[in-house]
Amino acid sequence: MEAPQQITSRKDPRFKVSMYEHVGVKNSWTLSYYLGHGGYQAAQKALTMQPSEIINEVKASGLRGRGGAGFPTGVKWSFMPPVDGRQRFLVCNADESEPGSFKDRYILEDDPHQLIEGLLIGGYAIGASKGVIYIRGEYYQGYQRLKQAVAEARQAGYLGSNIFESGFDFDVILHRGAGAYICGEETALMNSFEGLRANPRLKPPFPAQAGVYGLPTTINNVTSLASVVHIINNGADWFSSMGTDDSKGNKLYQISGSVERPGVYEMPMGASFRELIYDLAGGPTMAIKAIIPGGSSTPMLPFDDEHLDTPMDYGSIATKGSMLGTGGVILIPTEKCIVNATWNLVRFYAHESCGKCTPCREGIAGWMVKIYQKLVKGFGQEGDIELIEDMADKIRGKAFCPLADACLGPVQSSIEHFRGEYEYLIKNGKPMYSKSDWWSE
Amino acid sequence: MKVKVNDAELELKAGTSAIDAIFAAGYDVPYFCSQEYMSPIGACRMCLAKIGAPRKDRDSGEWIIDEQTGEPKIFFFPNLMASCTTAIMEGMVIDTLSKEVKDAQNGMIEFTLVNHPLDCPTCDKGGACELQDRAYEYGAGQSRFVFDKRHQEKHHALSELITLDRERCIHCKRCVRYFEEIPGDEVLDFIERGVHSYIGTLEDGLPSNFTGNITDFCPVGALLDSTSRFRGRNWEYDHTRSSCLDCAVGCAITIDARTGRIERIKAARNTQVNNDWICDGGRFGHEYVDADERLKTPLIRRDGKLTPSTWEEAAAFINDKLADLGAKETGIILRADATLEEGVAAKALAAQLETGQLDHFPRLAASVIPQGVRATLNDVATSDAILVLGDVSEEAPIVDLRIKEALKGVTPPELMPHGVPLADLRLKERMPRQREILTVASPYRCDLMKHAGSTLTYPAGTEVELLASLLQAANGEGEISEEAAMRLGSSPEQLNDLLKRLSGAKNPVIIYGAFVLAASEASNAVQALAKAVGAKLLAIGPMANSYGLEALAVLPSHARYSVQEMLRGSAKALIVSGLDVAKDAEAAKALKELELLVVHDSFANATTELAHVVLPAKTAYEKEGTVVNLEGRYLPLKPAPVENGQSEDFCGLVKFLGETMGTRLEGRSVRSARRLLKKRLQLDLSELSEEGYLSPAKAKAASKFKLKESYELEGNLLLTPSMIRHEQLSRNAHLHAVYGDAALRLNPADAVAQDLNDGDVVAFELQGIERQAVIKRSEAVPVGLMLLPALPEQPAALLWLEPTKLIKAAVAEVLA
Amino acid sequence: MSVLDIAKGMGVTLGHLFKKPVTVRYPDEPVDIKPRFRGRHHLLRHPSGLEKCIGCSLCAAACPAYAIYVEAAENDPNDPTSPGERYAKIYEINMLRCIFCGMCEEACPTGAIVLGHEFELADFRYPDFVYGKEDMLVGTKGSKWQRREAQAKNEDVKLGFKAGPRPELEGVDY
Repeated sequence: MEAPQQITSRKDPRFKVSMYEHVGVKNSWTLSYYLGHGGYQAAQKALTMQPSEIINEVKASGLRGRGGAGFPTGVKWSFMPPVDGRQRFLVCNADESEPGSFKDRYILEDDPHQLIEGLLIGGYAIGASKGVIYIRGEYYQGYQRLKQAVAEARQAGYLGSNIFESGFDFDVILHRGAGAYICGEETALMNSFEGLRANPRLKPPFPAQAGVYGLPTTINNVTSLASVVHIINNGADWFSSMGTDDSKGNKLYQISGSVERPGVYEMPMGASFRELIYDLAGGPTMAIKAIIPGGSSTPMLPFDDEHLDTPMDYGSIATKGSMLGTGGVILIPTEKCIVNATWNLVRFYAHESCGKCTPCREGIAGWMVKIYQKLVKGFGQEGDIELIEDMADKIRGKAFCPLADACLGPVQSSIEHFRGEYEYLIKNGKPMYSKSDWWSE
Repeated sequence: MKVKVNDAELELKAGTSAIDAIFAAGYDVPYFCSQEYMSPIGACRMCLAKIGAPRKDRDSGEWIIDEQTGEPKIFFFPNLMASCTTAIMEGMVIDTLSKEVKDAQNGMIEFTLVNHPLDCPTCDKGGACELQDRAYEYGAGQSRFVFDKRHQEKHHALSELITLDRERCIHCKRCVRYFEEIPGDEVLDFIERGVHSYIGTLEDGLPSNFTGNITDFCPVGALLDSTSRFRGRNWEYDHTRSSCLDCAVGCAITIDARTGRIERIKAARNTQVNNDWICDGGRFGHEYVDADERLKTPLIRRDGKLTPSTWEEAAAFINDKLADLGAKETGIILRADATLEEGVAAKALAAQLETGQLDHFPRLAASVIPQGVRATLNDVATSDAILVLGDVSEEAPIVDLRIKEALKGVTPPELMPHGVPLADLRLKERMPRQREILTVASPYRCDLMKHAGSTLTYPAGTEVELLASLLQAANGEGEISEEAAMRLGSSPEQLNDLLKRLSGAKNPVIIYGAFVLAASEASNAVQALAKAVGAKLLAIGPMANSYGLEALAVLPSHARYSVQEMLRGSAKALIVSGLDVAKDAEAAKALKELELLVVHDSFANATTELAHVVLPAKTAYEKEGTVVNLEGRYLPLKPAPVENGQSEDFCGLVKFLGETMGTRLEGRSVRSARRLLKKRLQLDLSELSEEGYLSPAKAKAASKFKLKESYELEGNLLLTPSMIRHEQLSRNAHLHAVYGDAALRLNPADAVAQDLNDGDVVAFELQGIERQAVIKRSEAVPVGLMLLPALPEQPAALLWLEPTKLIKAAVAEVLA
Repeated sequence: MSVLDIAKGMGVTLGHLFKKPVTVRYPDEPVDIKPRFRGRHHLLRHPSGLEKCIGCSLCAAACPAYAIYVEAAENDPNDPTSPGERYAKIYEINMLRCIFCGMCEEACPTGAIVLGHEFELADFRYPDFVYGKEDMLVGTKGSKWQRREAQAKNEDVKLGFKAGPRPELEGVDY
């Protein structure tokens, strides 16, 4: 019998919204609502399984980390050392700070129990009795709702000791960040959680060996953990029936920029940009020249048919020279100056550089951002583009953590695809598209 | 493991870092953040190298073979790797010479210099700056950065001793890591983030005894020694490697002098003793040497007034006087930090004068040479159970650091062809410490207790009881009773745990200081305890060469000739070197009666007031010689070029005296003393290596003539050893500004009872010595006890002082 | 040698009798000195009046004759001697040792020390050859001896040379 066709489009009748099913519904964040819609059934089911079974199920589902790097979640869980009596941690990275990404926000705000349930399942799978949710400081409403949800779950016995009479103890610690993008990097997040300066740590040792307080730790994204709930509920086959070969399941895509209906759309992996932009988001509101496929750190691509028909999965976007990242699609209108737009991103990364390593601190935060400022203000000189390219060469792959490389994504790709705009700006002292001021000032 | 660095193949131990492989192969990469004895963090990204390794096939376990060469195929990492944080692998290939690597290094230098102010001409680090050197070696020679540099505070005084220039900082994090990793005092961190981040501290000052070290290893001129600020350029200094004589450890130091002044002291490396670190007392306590009031010419009292003279005249004067006296009537007192050579000279002089009245001071009741297995400092650093009796952080600060090294559970690094490994991958940032191995017992809460797993604050004076009950339990001669343990401020469980830990350990060490040495009974008990539990012993003597002078027997021929007796009239003539014995009013009375008082000292003091002849003495930084430190290690002293007039060490004094007596005494020069010592020790001290020579472990205690027990078993005032040399503090302006005058520390409850407030100056008499101190209330001191810094003339002891005798100085003046 | 030859020779002599003489009647008349002649050093000031010298000692390091001694100190921020943190508290050049090679001028990062045109440095006692800051700072004219002489006679220092302008000698007025 021929295997059924993979679901790669939201239009496929077999596709059903799962993670975002309850987002936007009134009182969806309460426990009673959640229980009324099948809440905590997955956890109950999971706690009757062996931890290894859960890990195998997640491995079989093909779920890859939704935080950007795309590391298989099940494999990550299996890296935890054997249980040796030490405290183990499952940390949920809810420090969603990448420009263009806002998928976790609505789970935190409208469906916090889904996350708690995912955390509970993950904690059981890796033998961690403490879950940590490191939530972005600016997500105040999410924090409030989550706090309430944790209290409710504790009261109802979904958190605490001997959950579902299984003998498994689990509790959740909420920790608010203080507004640093670098805390989305897992080791910096751990430092920040411990009360230290948010600098990335040296790897190895990886978190599984020595994470929070030097103890075995696994770190997952909010969406990864939310997906686990549905994998347990519906089975690995359901999950892997969606998506493409290297990218299984459904994913939350975000779209922002000049479109009719910006927002978060849950789609199976492998759906095309065209489907997201035109069918779901209602199409652009003005002419578009560039598309950032997966959050601000991914290299931008020209907005053309070739790229619009690219399936949004890990492999396909990589072949086009970019990355899926968090799936935060940003559209850049034609009439906006690309240099100005890139400056905006570079400023962001310069502001968020933690200062630990030289290339990022001095190269990006100390220099690159000033060159862009100089270009945008119309003081560009011949040779500046080459200087940026040379600097990018000397920064890429040499910094301590991926933040510096993340900044180079838009820098290098914008020069690659829109060199003409840079040259025009340098030559004429004003941008090719003059309507660009509103974005930068 | 086989590693190939460029064209050199070498065999290294697993766990070595790639940067050490590169240096071991004789190649070089630039680095700023790596630092010996500290954790590698890979922050500066300078040491980038192209690194690759062969891979094993996952299924077959065989090396994947390159088909063209038939050799294992090398898989290079996609990015250049920071070699300081990369561990070597079997067959690893490291390339540091390719254009790719050079370009990356050049780029990184350019980035590092982007916000560096390049004020090299005015920077005290200029000429000894790692950034300067590396920019010269690896940089492109010019920058493409055309914007304004970052502007931050240029002279931020972190403390009175250290100035921070925030513009110059290149964020290598060495200083931040140092404080957490080495002394364990977390006083510095980065503030702000990104390009705005800077080094800072929340509180004022740097509350640590080891702050100066950060100025040594700061790769740029961001952290500078305030005492030598703008005093000279690095190439103008004469660098003299010597040993510090401020305590019994004998740390290696580099004395930087210019135009006859000591401008600064830096730590030098002795892997056996102090690694790379020295304490602030040793580093900043040199300013007195260049004080204007330094004695530089011999003085002879004529018509009641000291008049300048020459050594020959002074020697003749002394000789005349001595000729009138009989044998055995002259006393010689050396300070306990005199060198071995000076000891030889003193002994030769005593023999010439046929007197047995020869002694060194300060000297405590018990021998500083432990009878038992002697511990070295490296034994301490590798120990798995340590018992500390006393306040080592003040007595011998480096011992404190070596204990903290042991807490990390990492043995001292093995030396590589290029020396200490630059990146020891076993060390990590914020390592967990095995505090449980350390037990600290002291009569008051001392600094090291913060790091100890078990602490014990026993009532002062109960050392003997504490050790006796431990010994009894260790020998199985009786349980420790609840009551006895209570009396000692402990519990039977704690003491039993301690014994179990000591006897169960592989390399237990007991460290004891002045409080135990002051009572011979306690000292005997600690030696017996060590024997019972199989522990090694480290005794901290009162001064730098206490061990050596005792081993050399610079001691009286009879107990009635000890220092105390000499100062009470047993001698008719006295030669006193380096001690202000007349501080003691009673001694001063006896000194006035002397036929002849010769004082050999660097500064005028109460004793020179009474002296017939005053001879200018060299300080510890100007002497050539040898001292033996607390572990029995012979350490070399080298003279720094200091303008000291006609100052001579004791050897010089003996030379001039001998010449007038018409004889050539042994020890008339360092060379002559060493000839004698060579015969006796089978050791040529003039060829002593920089790391010194550890004497054979079975050195015997020579102290058969005890002093009067200075440590009474009851008292309320404890004279404590301190890192700072209080006798010179008034001439060490910078240290004085940080540490203030000698403090009388007492419990706030006692202070309230006596109506004493912080900062009150009190004057009182203590065993005949007038003391003045500033009141400091401290919770660390138990109720009913007062702490006062000891002086060379008044070493550690437990005394009685009626609290009512503490008279505020202002009141005392009025009364006077 | 013929009479003709003698006449020729005398002719040359005669010819010179009517030419302008090359010799200068020094010290009654000033000598002409080339602008780049290297004589006694000047320590220059910024137009603001602050000293250019920052006491960095690089001149001393460059000096092949070990003639320079510098001791620096920290500026009083309220009354600075030089811009920045550091200034030269002591700046001495031993003119007996100096070989007037100009290396110090080359080494100076701020252009503070420039070799001027004064060459009449002869004096009577050794200590007088050690020139301090007060002897070299802009505004001081003449050698120590010339100034002593001028003071005794109560007249201006008379320099025995004239030279073209040299831009490096900012503020130096001969």
